[in-house]
Amino acid sequence: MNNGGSVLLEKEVISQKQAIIIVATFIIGSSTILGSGAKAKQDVWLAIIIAMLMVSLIFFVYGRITKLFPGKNIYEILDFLFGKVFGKILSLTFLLYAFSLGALVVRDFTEFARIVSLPETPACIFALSFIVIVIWAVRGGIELLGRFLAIFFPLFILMIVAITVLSIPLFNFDNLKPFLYDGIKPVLIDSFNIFTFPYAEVVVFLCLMGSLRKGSSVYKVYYASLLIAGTTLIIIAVRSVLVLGIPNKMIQNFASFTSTRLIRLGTFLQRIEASIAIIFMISGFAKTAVCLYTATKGLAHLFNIKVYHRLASSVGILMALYSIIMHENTAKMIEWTKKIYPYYAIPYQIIIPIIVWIIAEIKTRMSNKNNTTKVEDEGTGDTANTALPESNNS
Amino acid sequence: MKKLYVLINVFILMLLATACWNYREVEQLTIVAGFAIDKTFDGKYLLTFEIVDLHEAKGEGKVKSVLVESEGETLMNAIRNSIGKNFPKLYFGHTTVIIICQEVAQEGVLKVIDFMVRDAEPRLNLNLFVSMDTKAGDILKTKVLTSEIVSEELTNILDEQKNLAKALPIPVHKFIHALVEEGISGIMNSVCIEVNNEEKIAKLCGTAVFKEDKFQGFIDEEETYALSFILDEVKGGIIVVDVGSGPEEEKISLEILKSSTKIEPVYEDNKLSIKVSIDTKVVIAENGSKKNYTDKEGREELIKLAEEQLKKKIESIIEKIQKEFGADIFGFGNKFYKELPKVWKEKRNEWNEIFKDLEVTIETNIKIEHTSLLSEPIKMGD
Repeated sequence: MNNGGSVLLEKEVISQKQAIIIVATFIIGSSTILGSGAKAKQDVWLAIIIAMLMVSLIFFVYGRITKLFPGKNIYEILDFLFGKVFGKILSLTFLLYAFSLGALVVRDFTEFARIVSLPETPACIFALSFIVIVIWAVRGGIELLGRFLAIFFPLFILMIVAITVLSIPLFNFDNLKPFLYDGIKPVLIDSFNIFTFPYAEVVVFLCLMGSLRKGSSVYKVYYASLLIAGTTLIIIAVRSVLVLGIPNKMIQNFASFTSTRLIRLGTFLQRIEASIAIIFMISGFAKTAVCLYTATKGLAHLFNIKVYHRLASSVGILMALYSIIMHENTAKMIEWTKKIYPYYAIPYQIIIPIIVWIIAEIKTRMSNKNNTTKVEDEGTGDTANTALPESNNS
Repeated sequence: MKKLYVLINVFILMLLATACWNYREVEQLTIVAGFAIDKTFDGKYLLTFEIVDLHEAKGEGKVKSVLVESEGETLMNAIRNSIGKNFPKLYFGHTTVIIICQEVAQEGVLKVIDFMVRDAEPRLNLNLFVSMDTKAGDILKTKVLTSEIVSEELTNILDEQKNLAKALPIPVHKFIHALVEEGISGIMNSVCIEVNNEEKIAKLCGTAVFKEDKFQGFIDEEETYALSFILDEVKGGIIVVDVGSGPEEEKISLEILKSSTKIEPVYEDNKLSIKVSIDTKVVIAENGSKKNYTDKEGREELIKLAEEQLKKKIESIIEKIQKEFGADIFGFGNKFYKELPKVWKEKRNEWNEIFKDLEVTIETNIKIEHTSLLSEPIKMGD
């Protein structure tokens, strides 16, 4: 850990492939245990697909922001666009969002472990032991997370596929009927909820995408990971519906866990629900690490500290403590996640990025104009940089 | 300095690597194989737990079961009250059977279900039973013929029903499904005590019919057999065909290889009706008559008789349920909800009335796959 400041100060670089894996694992996140589709019921797959379509629009905005300022993170962009004072205020709100999001994931993890397996252990033990590993990862830098997931992501996907295949004997396709019994409205409400949790939470990656290796496309990262994570989430949600049916799924706190409990192949392969816990541990770890990274980096930026790594442990421990005090109990936590969180997330996920995007477009256009009149080299270089990926993706 | 740093790290890791907080050894657990719920005279719950005794099993001896009784105002209370009698806390992770007495079932089983599903230990695939004409606890006191544990025996019997089709496997999650889902009522297996070879043994004896969460009544094994055809749960079993004409009793057994049922809801002229079509593949397993049923004419006659008799059985159970209980255990309403959601939306409030006079047409289709080893009946010479 004392590798010397010189190494730490170097710019971190992650490859496109690693970035795709990180974003995909991040999106899958706590959705592996927390069921989605409380209102859409058997049409949850439709709600997820609609949410994916909505999200692909906002992902364009996220991608465009990074594309306009290659190599810069969101805090530097905010400073540049809004000036020192207002930029810092926006930075503070953004880092607080990442902070609370991370705390929420830690809380999900704590509640899950406490309800499912260790009811007598105090919550802080889970939260703190979980956060220690996350802090460790963040201190190692984002590259470490990329390399870690490169190893564990295939395992992660393999486990989800294995559980799904093993559930096939329990599938009852009648559970998906009737289609749109209560009309399209509940589906749309749910797809909005799914949009805010988990898809658009990807907004915290605005802080990371500056580290993307040169020559890789941000859009590719966002859309490829959306496709991977979206498919996985549809599989997880639909599997719970097919196995449990709507009446059972609706009353369960952790539907995918419960549906895994029913898997029984003869007498030798049963009680494999621990695999769901392992899956959640990997994805929850990745999600918390990204949130902690974003929050730490923001704090470092706020106080002009060059080596953010040293702040990781203090921010991390605060995150764990906040996770314990943020909700009184699980019932409140789940109620809050379902009812209040979507509205809480709108400013960070939609409003701020769109404002940033519009102002960024205006400012870069203006400076480009100025540049082309003054120094031609720089101006053309810049426009080439921004124009290229667009034509690729359209 | 570096050594000290490593040493500190090692100590921290040692503390973290001690694993679980509330650590329990296997021998400190009391594994509950199944339990029975009764009511005492003063309105308390009386729970009888069948516990797998691991202390006896340490040697080579067989695993034995021990019964522990406990009372309480609520179920959870009764479970915890057992601590007064038996030291290790009860563990429900391996519970496979819950037997409910008629009285509790009549009051409503929602509280039992809620408790079992809410707790993290029991699984959703444990089986529910209603005891018939006896206290639920007495079922657990019966003698077991082949294994040592009554609960295990009941589960095994239920698993083996695929060769009989006279009881349906109803795990908790299926019952909840029927409880919550639109247009379907729940059922449970019923269990009673029978005397076999001068010993009391537990026996499955049909199905308990529920409306919402309240027990309505029993149907017997033969009726359950007909019911399992409608619910498409037949995986094996025997169709007995009465071919006797005249005073002599002549019966033929057809063994079911495969059976599938399709239920089609029909909405015509503002009237609801249900079409049930059953396709069954059988083999001739026993010919109790002297007639030849392997040639073309014989086969056709046999199929005709079998189809008619099966149809009659099924029709009579539907009528019985409609008239006596009025509980839609077949899930006909659910079929409307799934297949004709618009019609269901209009009619769902009147469904209870509609169901009682619902017109159900049944079509049975039996195919003889082969006649086993014999191609001709055994003919007696003089």
